[in-house]
Order: sequence, then C-alpha cells, then structure tokens
Amino acid sequence: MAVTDIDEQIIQLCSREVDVDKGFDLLMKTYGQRLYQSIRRMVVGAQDAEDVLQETLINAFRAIGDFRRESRLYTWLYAIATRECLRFYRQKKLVLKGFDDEGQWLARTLYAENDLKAETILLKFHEAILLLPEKQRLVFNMRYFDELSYEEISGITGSSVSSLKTNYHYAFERIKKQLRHAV
Amino acid sequence: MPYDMEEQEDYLKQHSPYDLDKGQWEAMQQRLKAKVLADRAQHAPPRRRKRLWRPAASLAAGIALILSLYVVQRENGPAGKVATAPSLTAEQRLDKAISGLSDADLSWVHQLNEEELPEAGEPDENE
Repeated sequence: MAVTDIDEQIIQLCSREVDVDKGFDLLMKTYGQRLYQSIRRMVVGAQDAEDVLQETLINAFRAIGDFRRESRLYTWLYAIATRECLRFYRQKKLVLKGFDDEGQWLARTLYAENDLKAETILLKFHEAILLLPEKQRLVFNMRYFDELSYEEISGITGSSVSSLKTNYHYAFERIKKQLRHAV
Repeated sequence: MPYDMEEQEDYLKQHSPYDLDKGQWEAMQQRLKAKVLADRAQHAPPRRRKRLWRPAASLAAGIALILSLYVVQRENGPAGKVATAPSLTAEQRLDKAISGLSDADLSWVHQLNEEELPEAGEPDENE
C-alpha cells in the first residue's frame, strides 16, 4: 500500500531541518497514540514504553530521508517499533532474573501498574495476550488491534503469511478459552 | 455466563488499560520531542557545515597570503624597488606629459575637451 497524503506531508517536513519540529508534531498527532499503545501492549510498563517509543522515534527521524515509500509510513514506523520491542525483551533477559518467563513478568507488571483502575475483564484479556508465546503475541497485537494485513505483518516480521495465519488462529483460540474460564 | 470474546470485540478493542490522561500524554510528547530533536541536530547531514567551511577556509588562506606579502614588503621593500627609479603617480605622470606639450597642442586639447564634454554629460538641445 502506498503512502498517503498525510504521510507525504510528514516525510517532507521531517526531511527539512527547518521544519523538523513541525514534522514531529504532525507525526505524533497522526500516529503517536497508536504507536504508543502498540508498544505499551508489548512492553507493558509506562516508563519502558516511553523509552522504547523514544528509541523508535530517534531511529525513524535519523532514517526518514531514506524512507522508500514502498509501504505506508505507519507500517514502517511499526517495523521500527517492533524491532525496538524485541531488543527490549533481549536486554531484559540479560539483566533481569525471572524474565526468562517473560509472559509472567509482563503480566505482573500489568497488575502492578493498574491496581483496580481498569475493569477486571480488560485486565484478564490483556493478561491472556501477555501470556502468549512471543511470536503469537506479536501477530495477535498487529492483527487484532492494529488491523495490519498478513502481508504487512509478513514484511515486518519476516514470517510467511501461512505461518502468521496459523499463529493468529492459535493465539485467538487460546485467549478466548482463557476468558471463558476467567469470568 | 461465559464471556464471549467475539461479541465483546468492540469493547475490547476500544478500551485499554494503558491509556494516559491528556496531561501525561502532552508531557511525554514534550520530553520525546526534546530528545528526538536534539539527536536529530547531532546526526544532521554534514552538508551545511561543509558549505560554510569552504568559503571560510578560502578566506583564511587569502588573508594569510596578503599578510605574508605585507610582512615581506615591510622587511624587504617592494620587489624591483632598488633596481629602478622611484615610480611616479598617475597625477605626476599627467603633469609631466602636459608640461611637455607645445602651446598649439595644448590649445587643441582644450578645444577637444570643450566639444566632447557637453556631449558626454547631457544631450544636445539643438538636435
């Protein structure tokens, strides 16, 4: 899918040194919330999500002049964000004891940061997502929340479309089962 | 009654336990903007710097050359000064040339000047 008019406007502004701050504002207004939510669903903690979003944006602003317009701008940003999330997992595994079971660690963070603010069913739903294997979690988030096509997800993750479909199906069934028992 | 994920899809998609309030979001955006723009300034393409360096380097080289010539001239005098007679200024040369002219030549030069100057300065009213 080609870039949209707003994408083109963001790219032009971000490529010119004098307009780069306007480019930042427009990018954040257009995609900021969506990008933040995607990262937060992957890394859970508020501070961790801000750090990952910061690295994502820094990398995007360094490379935006080389963006080849072969995909939507959001897909390109999502690909950078996904790489940064995976880097975050690797770093945590190196420095944190107990991160070997990353799903459990992420789920504990979810409850620690939410107390009783969010509804129980919402927390159960997101806990079920976090307890998925890493690949299923990635595919589920991209497909269910961000509604990316399998082709776009394939471009980001490097997995085949058939493998992604299988992973999404397993993830969906697993979450459905967990929620059925949770309430 | 078991929870039906498919029936509740709209609710599950539109609500998030990760929402920030407006103030938190604005503050985070400002922090991110400051860091991203600072990094961008550090990693900006060096084109502009190169463009400024080239004329600055040429200017510095020119000034150095002029200064070195000035110092050499002050220490040794202008080149060829010792071998030749003191040179005359343009005004002195003109005076010398005029004083060498005969009265007839001088009269012709005056006549020529009077005819030429009005033409050069303003248009002839009789034309």
